[in-house]
Order: sequence, then structure tokens, then C-alpha cells
Amino acid sequence: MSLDMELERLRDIPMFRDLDTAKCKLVAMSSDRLDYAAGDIVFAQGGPSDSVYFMLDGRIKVSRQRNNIEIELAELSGGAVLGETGVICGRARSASIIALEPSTMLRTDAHVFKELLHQVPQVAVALARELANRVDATSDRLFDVTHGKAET
Amino acid sequence: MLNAVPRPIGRDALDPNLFRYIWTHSRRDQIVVLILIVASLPFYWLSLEIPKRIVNEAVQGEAFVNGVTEATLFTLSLPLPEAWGGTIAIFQGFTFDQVGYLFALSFLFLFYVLANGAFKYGINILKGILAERMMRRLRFELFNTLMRFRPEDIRNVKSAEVASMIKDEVEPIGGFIGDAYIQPAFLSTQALTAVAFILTQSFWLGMVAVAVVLVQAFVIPYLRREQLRLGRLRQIASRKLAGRIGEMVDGSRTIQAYGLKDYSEAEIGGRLGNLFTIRSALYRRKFAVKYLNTILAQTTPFFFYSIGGYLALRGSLDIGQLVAVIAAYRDLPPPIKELIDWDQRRADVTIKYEQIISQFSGRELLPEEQGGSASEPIPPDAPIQLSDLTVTDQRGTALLSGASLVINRPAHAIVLGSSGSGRDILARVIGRQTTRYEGSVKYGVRDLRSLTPRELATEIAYVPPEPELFSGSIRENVVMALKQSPPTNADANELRWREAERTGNPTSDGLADWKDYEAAHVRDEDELEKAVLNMLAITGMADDLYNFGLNGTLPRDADEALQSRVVASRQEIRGALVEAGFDKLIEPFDFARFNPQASLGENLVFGVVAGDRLAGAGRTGDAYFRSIIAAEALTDPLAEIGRRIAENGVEVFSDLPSGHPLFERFSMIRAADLEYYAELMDEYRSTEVGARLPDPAIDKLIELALEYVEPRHRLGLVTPELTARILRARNSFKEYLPFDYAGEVEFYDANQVMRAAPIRDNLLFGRVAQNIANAETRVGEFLRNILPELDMEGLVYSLGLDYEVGPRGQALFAPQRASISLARALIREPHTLILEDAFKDYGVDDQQAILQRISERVDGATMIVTAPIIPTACDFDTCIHVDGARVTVEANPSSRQLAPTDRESEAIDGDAISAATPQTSMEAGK
Repeated sequence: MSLDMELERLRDIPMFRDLDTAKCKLVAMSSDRLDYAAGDIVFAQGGPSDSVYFMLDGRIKVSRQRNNIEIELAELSGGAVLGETGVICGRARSASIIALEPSTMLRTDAHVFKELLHQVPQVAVALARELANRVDATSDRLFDVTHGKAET
Repeated sequence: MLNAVPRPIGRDALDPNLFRYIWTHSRRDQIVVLILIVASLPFYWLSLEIPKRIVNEAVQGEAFVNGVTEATLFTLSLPLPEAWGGTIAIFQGFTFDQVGYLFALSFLFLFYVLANGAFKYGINILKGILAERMMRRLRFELFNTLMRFRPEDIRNVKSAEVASMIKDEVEPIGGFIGDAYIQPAFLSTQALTAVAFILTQSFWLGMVAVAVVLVQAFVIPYLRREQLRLGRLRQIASRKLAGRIGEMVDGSRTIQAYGLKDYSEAEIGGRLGNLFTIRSALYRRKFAVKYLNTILAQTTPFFFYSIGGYLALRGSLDIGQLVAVIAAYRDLPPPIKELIDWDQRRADVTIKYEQIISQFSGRELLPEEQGGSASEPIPPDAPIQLSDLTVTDQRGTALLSGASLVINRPAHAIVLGSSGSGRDILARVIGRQTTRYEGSVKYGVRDLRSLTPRELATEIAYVPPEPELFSGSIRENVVMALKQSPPTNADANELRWREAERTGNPTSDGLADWKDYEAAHVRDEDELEKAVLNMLAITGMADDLYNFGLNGTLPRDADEALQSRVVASRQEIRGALVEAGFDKLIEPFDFARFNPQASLGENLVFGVVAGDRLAGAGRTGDAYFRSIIAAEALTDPLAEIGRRIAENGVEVFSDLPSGHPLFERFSMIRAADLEYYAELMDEYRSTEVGARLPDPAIDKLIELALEYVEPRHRLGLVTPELTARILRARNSFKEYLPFDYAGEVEFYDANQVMRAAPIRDNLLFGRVAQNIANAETRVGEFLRNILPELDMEGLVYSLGLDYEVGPRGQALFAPQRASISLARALIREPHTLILEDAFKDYGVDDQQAILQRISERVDGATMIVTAPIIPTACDFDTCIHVDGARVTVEANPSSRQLAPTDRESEAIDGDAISAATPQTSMEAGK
């Protein structure tokens, strides 16, 4: 996969969709491309949040372990950002990511990712929007859990 | 009312009067030169006198009349009164015939001319040295004054402006300082001597000379002043014209849309007319001055020839005198002209000096160290007492209002309050980062403002929210905290130190070992190294240091034993890698195979460049290297790869400031070359298809291509054909390498150490496959485990400490800078550690962990922390709440949950939400 193809795949990720080519290239050139085989662990829960991953293709599983029970949270395929919350908050990984089939990722060092947010404000704004949406959705679900379901 | 800061001790504040400043500091040198000037005058006089004797006595033969055939020269006698026996002849002199007499006098004249030249030479040398000394003093005093500004004042100084003042603007002042007293003294005594000489020859001719001098001294400066005024007017009018034209060009669409063309043209025409008026007046004035100068220079001889000739004919002036007067007059105009120039320079330089001094004066300065009588040291357990402390900003708004509190030491205190509130001001006051306050702050019985810098450094280590790093290695940035006291200067009598003393500069050697090992509680360099590593580990920098170290090269002075150890470790590591099944993660250096993880250049030479000939930009210009590339027809493909790299590099990195970490880490183009490549790409796009770029451009493109690593840069440019050619070129390069290139390349050799290669390459003898998932991490962990067994870990960390942080630490990321700043404070083991929002660059987990480790480290000392977090990780003895400008204290807060501030409440709420949030959305991007 060449840099040009990587750029195409990056565009599948919402935060890069409207980004100009030069900035997209900056993201790609500031990252390493890694190929994972099925079953490879991308990162493990509790590990240091030292990098952000941009999934270019493949399929992965997001899971979390609690009381020795693994809870599968999601399966993702195609363009996705992984591990950015831990990097931004400076907290350990809160979930594990395992490749379910051969997958390709761009791995960006945590320091580099933060610098990119400073240098490319469009990415920072898109990320803030994405996170705000998640908080909103989470609040709704929390409300449903504590009130809505109780009432029904 | 502000409490008065003690006035400067030990060193005078800068004198606002330039001439007084010069005289105060260079009196002795000036007097020496002035004595030399006075001593030169008799020689000058005699050099005017001798031509008269040559004409009268030798040429006209006045010494040989009445049958006298010989004349005597160089007689030496002692004139005594008649009562004491009259004149006593000491030396009878030499006798000459007329021709001999002529030559003797001529050589005597030559001697005086040479003596005058020698005096001038000596005076100029002394003057130049004096000027350099004064400039050194002035520059140092400006810097010294700057360093003694109060912290709040120095923060408001524009660093680039001040640096330019000390470096550039002082330069012309320094040039003038040498001339300040000497030039007028030298020129005026020379002019007066010449005038006096003329007067002694002929009163009327003397009067003519005086009249010419007076015109030059008064009329010409007056005319010149007007010329200067007009010059300034011309500059202002030109600048305004340029500004207006620029504005009109920028707004040309509006001008055209509104039909303002004629109006705009009329305005510009008017400005041009005004400029013409000024310029024509200026030229009139300029040529008037020139005309007057020329007239004076050319008509004065008329008076000398006519009046002098007339007097000679009348017999009241002889020919010799006339010749001498004309010669003396010829010397007059230069001194007068130069005196006028000196006066103009004086006016310019005085203004410049006053401007510079005004930037450095009018401020209260921090006290300087007092030699000898040291003040009573402050006991580490003496409390910090704040009484009625009020701080207001420049608009008079209270930032802290009437705060009175006592912090018992040792204690760990936290200052809580919203960011930007009085919370940070309080920390700054206690850390003496601001002295503009009312009330008092005492450490024990000592007023904080009375502490000298050294006392302050012993007592307090203050860590600012924005780390301040300096060019140099990480090690140097940490241990600089131990460099307060100058080491004993063993060679105090050496010329450079005597010179330093003369110019008010420090007589301590900046290159000597200043480190105060005792302050860090270590005995020697080795223990200090361990302490530095320990502090950096506490501040969360260990992993970064380790990685920096693996990328470092062996020290230049690495001995044979160390080199052997590296080679032995390499073999151990190779075996262990195979055993662990990690050997597939490494692409080894193999002469028969292209290494995709290495650059094209490294592949071509199969080694690492160690000399200058083949390094960087010089490589593509090297005849041998070029011939190898050309022989394998690599020139065009490499140039094409270079072009693609340049195209991408210019597109991606043009917007980044030079020195930015992203630029430094990922750009293949150096900042200085970016503009060149941008122009080259423009040129390439505008050339016809198939047209060839010039050779220097091809060289520059090949230079880029040689740095290309396919898995890292991923432009898809490495084809099997290219790798085959590179392998053939590799063979040729090694086989035909000229004898005198022996030291230029260190070839990869499994049994030899490569001193110019990173230690990682030396240990792995290959490169980690960058594209294999987690290869870097797995190999990293593997090395982590094995290096201590091989006794190589210390070397790696030590090389990590050598890492250059770049100007202002730009080569590092923000948390790395913060870690170094914190380690610098810890290494001194201060009595009181003040951390003002020092953790803001870290993630939450790191904040907690680092604070916890620091807290343990400074157990038994005092720590005052302001941070926008509730540090659950450690306990505090005192909690200081700052609510707006109001301060309250709570003792033993660890016995209960600390009350969070608004911002912290939000943080807690956020955590609560995230804890309850399904991780799919929070972590996985959906």
C-alpha cells in the first residue's frame, strides 16, 4: 500500500474527510504503517496510551475485561481511530484491540499526535466534535438506563 | 507602597552619560594615549621644520655662504648660564659638504615622517584595543543588568530586541568609544600644531590659515546639519510613498471599481512632487557643501602663493618658510574634516547610547552576591510567613488581597484555585518570581526580597508552568542547577583573566567544572550521572532517555574495551534473538542483500559515513561517489526519487515552523533547504517535458533520494531493478574505494564496532522491520531485558543524556521538556520546591504518578504545588484555597477529602461519566 492509497483510506475516517491533501499527508508521513495478522493484539487494556492508531483496512474487536470476564464491546472494520481518548486524557488503555483478520493501521506516537492537533486545527476541531457527540450519546444512554428503562 | 528592593550592590548602574561612562572605565588607557599624542607633537613639528632647512640651508646654500664648505649636524650641547661656565658641548656633531648636508637633512626628514607614522600606528592600536575593551565591558554590563531585572520585568522584555541591542546596536558605539577622547585630542593638537607652525613662520599667512579653519569649523557643520535634516525628511517621504503605493496596489480593485484612478494618480504625483522638492533642496545643499570645501581647498593655496610670494619678494619671508607653510597647510584640512565627522558621530552615537541605556535603566534591580560576609543561612525548618500580602495587576485589580498565612516547614502544601487566579500568583510570590507586592514574605527572619540569587537558589527551586530549556544536552540542562558558585580559577594570572578583570567581566572560566556536587549530595561525576538519571526517572523521562540513547553514537573517546564489549554484546543479542524467535523482526546487515529498512545511501555504501567527504550534501558532489552512481546508471532514477520526495516535502512541511519537532523528525528536507527545493519544484514544473535540470539541482535531488527508506516514507519508489543496481553499485563502491577514502566509511562488519552508527544498529547489527506490527515494541522490550545482563544499560542511558534538546528545547515534546525542568529542580535538593502548574503537559495518569514520586523524593523538605487536579496520589499537610483574591488555609486536609475547585469538579464529573460510558464509543472511535 503506497502513501497515496493510505491517504485514500484515511479519508474514510470522518475527522480526515474534509482535510486538505497536504495535511492528510502530514498525518500519514508522521506515522508508521503496521500490518497485523488475524489474532494479533494491537494494544491491551491497562497498557500505556503511547500512540493513536488509524485503521486503514481490516477488522478488529474491541473488548474489555472486568472480574476476569471479557466483554466484547464492538467489532469495527474500515476507517476508524483507536486509542485517541487515552492519549488525550493521559490515561492507560481502557480496552483491548485484537485484529480479527489481516488489518493495516497507521500508528502515530502520542507526542506526535498531540503536536498534530496543534498544527492541524481542523483535526482538533473534528476530534472535539466527535468526542462531544460521544458524550452526548453516552449521556442519553445513561439517562435511559437510570430513568427511561425504570419508567418503562 | 512598594517595599524598596535593595539597591544594586557591588556594581554601578549604567551611566546615562556616554562620555562620563567612557572616562570612568578607561581613564588610565585614555591618559596613556593622550601622553603618546603629546609626545608625538615635537616630531610632527620637526617634520614641518626640516623641509624649510632643506630648501634654505641645503638647496639655497645659506649654510654654505662666505666660503664655508662644510656644515655641522646633530651637535648636542647643554646650555648653562655664563656663571656656570656657559654652554657645554656634549657632542660635536657630524660635518657634511653641501650635497651630503642635503641628503642628511632629507634622511632626517624621512626619519621624522616614519616616526610620525609610528606614533599614529601606536595610537591607533591602543585606541582600537581600548574600544574593544569598552565594548566588551558595555555588552557585559548590559547583560549583567538584564540578569538582575526583577522576574516580572524580565518576563516583559522582548528577548530578540534586547539580544539585538547587545549584539548589533552596541557595535557602532564601541567603534566610537575609541575615538571619543583620543580623536579630538589627536586631530586638534595636530591642527593647532600646524597653525602654530604657520604663525611662527608668518603672522599673515597664519591668519589666513586660521580663517580657513574657522570657516570649516563653523560654516560647514551648519550646512551639513541642514543636509542631514533634509536626508531624514527624504527618508520619511520615501517610506510614506512606498507605503501608499503598496496600499493602492492592494486596494487596486476598489480603485478601479470606483473610478479612482485619476484621483490616486494625482495623490501619488503630489507625493512625488514633494519628494522632488526635498531631494532638490538636498542636492543643492549637498553640492553647496562640496563646492565650499573645494573652494576652500583650492583657493587657500592662492593666498599662500600670492601673499607668501609677495612677502618672500619683500624679504620678510624666505623660500624655505614658504615651502614649509604650504606643507603645513596641506596637513590642515584632514584633521578639520575628521573633527567635523567626529562631531556628527558623537551626536548619533550619544543618542543611540541613551536609547539603549533607557531600555536597561529606571528599574529596580535584584541584589548581587556580596563577597566575603555571607548572611546567616536560613534554617530549612524556618516557616514561610506571609503578612498582609496584596498583589495587584497593572490596572489595579487585586489578584491577592491582604493574605496572611504561615507555612510551617517542612510541609507539603497544595494551593487550590482556578487556573489564572491568585493561585499561581501566590506560588510566584513565594518563589520570588514576582517582587511587586505589598506586605511582607519572610523565610524565617529573612525578607524574601533581600535574598541574593545564590541564597535564593539554595532555599527555593521554582518550576514554572512553561519549561525553560537551553541549547545543549539533556544532562547539561539538568545539572545546570548545580552551577551557582564559580570554581577556583587556578590560572587567575593568565592574560585572558587579567583582560576580563580590566573590562569588568567575570574572571571565572565558563568551561571549567562548575558543578556543586555537594548540593546534589554526590561525590563525583559518576554518582552525579546516577542522580541525574534517577531524577529523570522520577519525572517520567526514563523511556525517552532509553530511546534517545539507543539512537546515540558511541562516545569519541570510547576505548578498545568498550568497543569489544559492544561487539560481544552484539553476538549475545543475535543468539538470544534467534532463541526468542525475534530474529525475523530484524533485517540484518548482509552484504549480499538489499536492506529495505536502511536508506538507499546506506545500502549503497553498505556502511555508515564517518568522514566529511561523503557526509550529507558533500556526498553527491564527490567525484568518486558520482562516478559509482553514474556507472550503474543510477543518476536519473535517484534524481526522480529525489524529485518525488522534494515535491511531497515542500507540500507537507512548508507550513511548519523550522525547528518544530514534526519537521525535525519527519522532514527529509532540512529547514534551510526548503525554500531551495520549493523553487526547484517550480522550475521543474515550468520546464519542458524531457528537459534536464542543471547538475547542481540533480545533485540536490540525489542527496534527498539517498535518505529514502521505503517502509518509512512509503512512496512506492523502490523497484527490484533499482535494488539490483544499488547492490552492484555497492560492490563497485567497496572494490574501487580509493586508499585516501579509508576513513570516510565504516563498512558494516559483524566483528567490528561502527563508531559513527547508532548504538542500536551496533547491538542489533541490523534494522527493526518497521512494517511488522509491534516489532519495534517487542524488540525494544527484548533489549530492555537483555541489556542489563550485558552491562550495557548504563551506556545507553548515558548516551540518552547526551541528546541535544535544540534551541529552547524545541527538539523535544512538551512533556519531555517538563520532565527535564522538574529534574533540574530536584537535583539541587532544595529546602523548598515550588511547582506552579508544572504538570499541565502530562496526561492524568502521568501527573498523578510523577507527583507521587516527587512527593516521596522530597519527603522531609517543603513542597508547594499548584495544579488543576486533585492529587489523590499523595497527601498534603496544608491546603491553601485561593478564591479570587481571597486566601484561606486548611491544615491537615488529608484527613478528609479535599474540596475540589470548580474546574476540578468538572474533571471529576467527566471521569464519572467516562467510567459509566460503554468503551466502544470512548476508546474505539465509534
